[in-house]
Amino acid sequence: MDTPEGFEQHREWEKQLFAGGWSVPAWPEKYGGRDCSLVEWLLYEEEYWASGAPGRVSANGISLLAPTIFSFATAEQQERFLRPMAAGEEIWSQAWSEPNAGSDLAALSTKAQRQGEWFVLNGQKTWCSRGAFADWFFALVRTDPEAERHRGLSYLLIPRDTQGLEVREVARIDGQPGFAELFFEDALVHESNLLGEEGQGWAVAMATTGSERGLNLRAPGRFMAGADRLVALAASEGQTSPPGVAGLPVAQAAPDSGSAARGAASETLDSLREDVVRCWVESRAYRWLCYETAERLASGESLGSEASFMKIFWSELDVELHATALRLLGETGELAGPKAQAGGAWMDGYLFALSGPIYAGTNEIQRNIVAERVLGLPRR
Amino acid sequence: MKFSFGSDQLALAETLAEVLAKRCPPELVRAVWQSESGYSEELWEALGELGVLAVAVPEAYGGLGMNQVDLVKLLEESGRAAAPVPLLEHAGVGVPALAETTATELAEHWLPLAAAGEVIVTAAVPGSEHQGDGNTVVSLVSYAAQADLAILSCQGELFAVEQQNYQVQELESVDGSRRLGWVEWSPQDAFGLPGASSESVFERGVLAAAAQSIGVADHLLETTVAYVKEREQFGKPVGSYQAVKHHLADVAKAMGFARPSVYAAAWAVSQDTEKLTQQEQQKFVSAAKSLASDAADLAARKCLQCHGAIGYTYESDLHLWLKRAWSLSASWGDAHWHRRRLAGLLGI
Repeated sequence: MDTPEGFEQHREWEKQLFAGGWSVPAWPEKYGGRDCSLVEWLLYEEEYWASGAPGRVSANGISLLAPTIFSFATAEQQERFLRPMAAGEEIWSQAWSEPNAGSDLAALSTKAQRQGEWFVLNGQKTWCSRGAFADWFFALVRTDPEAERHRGLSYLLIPRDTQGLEVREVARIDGQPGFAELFFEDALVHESNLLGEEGQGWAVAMATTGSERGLNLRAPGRFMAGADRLVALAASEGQTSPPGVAGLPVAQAAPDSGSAARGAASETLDSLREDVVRCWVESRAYRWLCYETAERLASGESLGSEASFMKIFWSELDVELHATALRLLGETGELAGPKAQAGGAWMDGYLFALSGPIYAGTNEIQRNIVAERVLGLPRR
Repeated sequence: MKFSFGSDQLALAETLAEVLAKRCPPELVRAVWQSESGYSEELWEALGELGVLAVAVPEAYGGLGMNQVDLVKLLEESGRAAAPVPLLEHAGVGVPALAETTATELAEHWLPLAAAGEVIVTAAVPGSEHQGDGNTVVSLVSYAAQADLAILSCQGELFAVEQQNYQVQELESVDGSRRLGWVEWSPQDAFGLPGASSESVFERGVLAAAAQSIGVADHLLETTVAYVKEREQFGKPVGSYQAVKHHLADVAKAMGFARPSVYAAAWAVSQDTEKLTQQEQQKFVSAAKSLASDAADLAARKCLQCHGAIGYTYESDLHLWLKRAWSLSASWGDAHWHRRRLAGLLGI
């Protein structure tokens, strides 16, 4: 996904999905969706990932930006942006972080000064996922230079070909140009690209983080499919060479229920086998939580700070899942590239998973949010 | 499929929560720990009046004819209050086994009494028994000395044994409201329970223990959150420190994920095996118990830590719930045992 050729292939896949009406099933029909319910969407995601279909290059647009567009954009903006986003014609990248504003997003300093109907941008954005090849950026910028922290921010939609915007690729841990840095030097963005009201950027942005941390970005289907592949890997017959590329030893018969009370039987359990099961169990736990949440949302409740513990859960599960797979592969676990098991998918997945506890607000920040907003502990 | 409870189910759970809040304070739990009787007769009577003991009893026998989905939140509430009564054994396991048997005379006699709380029915983990002297069997049973009837297994067969037909050698649990004993009995002096399966007894017991565990863990978290907001060190509430916050956030997360899985398991075990195979039901149940036990163990450990030394005293009520958490997470198969069973079910 993060090479020029791979990116274009993914764009083609998005177009095919859209043509079949499978790109954004939960959206209204007029934007290319199927008006399906949240529960139906969860089922769709399960089928999508179980089929082994590719990751979604348009994820940041359709999962993170689109909910904000639905809630805050003008009718013209909705007409302008939603269909091309769903069709893979315009791929979006998030431009929030800055060199000095990571977890502390409110410290951001990129300025957007008003001049008539234009905003003049100066500053720097970083860690823009898929930014190297994206067509548009959704950014949080400071439109009131006098205001501090959460005040005076605005949400802007910025075309890649904006004059005065320089996009520089940044290689991720896997060596691929998955990130971009953006440099703004008197870059002009028209006021028609302002999302929500001027100065209300923080409130608008927080609507997106709810989606990012909770259901929308990472539906359980993705982790269920991952856990099923892990179980299959563990169950696969031992392969002869090289050593270590092997499934677990053939399963013993399930213990009789009586040994549950004896305890000692539990202690003979191979910890690796147990870790595989743990990942499977957690993927299902996330599933049931999401279905329960979807039903609550459908009855009019809103997803609050619980989204934060969802984000901790799925991001740490994703790491465990891939780390367990690499342990199963033994000494060949370090192999990367097409000659590795599953074409290197486990190592690629591991490297990708490691970003999960960092992006969208580090898991340390998420734990603070859970403690303060779910449990009500004092902020300071 | 629905992913939420009906208003009737929620109302009964709420009523039970209110009754327990009023009639089952920590002082009662403490008193029962020291008592001869081993359980709170007064509370048992109250549960009988409320209909909680009649939930799984068929309507024909004076019950409400409901199932595990109706029961799961009630068990959760009883865990939250650390209620010193044999609710898990009686309502969660014993009664459903009697409701299932085709030995109608037995059901006709016992179920109306069980629904009203006039008798206590207990049950043991099937398969945990061992051979005693002569023709006898020895089973580890909770509330054996308090029960009037025990649902016990011998070589895969289920039996109902009246109290006068078994001998109890009482044991001491770390959890004073869990009255354990070795029960010596003989299948010759017991009623067979055709139609009731030891597999179902096991799944229901596991589910009930998981449901109580999440109630216990919830209480631990709630009281600890209240404590760390109050307790000050270095001039600030200890709950304002990130290290403490992260401990409790982890507990909240574990709880948040265990609970829906426990409810899903309650749904699973109330399904016909033609709709959801026994193996599939077992996957739900083992997933739920492993998550609930882990969550309860984590809650116990973190909540003790966040209380500091006061939580380590006998005077603090905390240990009443800590010990409940430990005993529930160890009973009916601990988290490791259930992951082991799942490994088999998943073919690894």
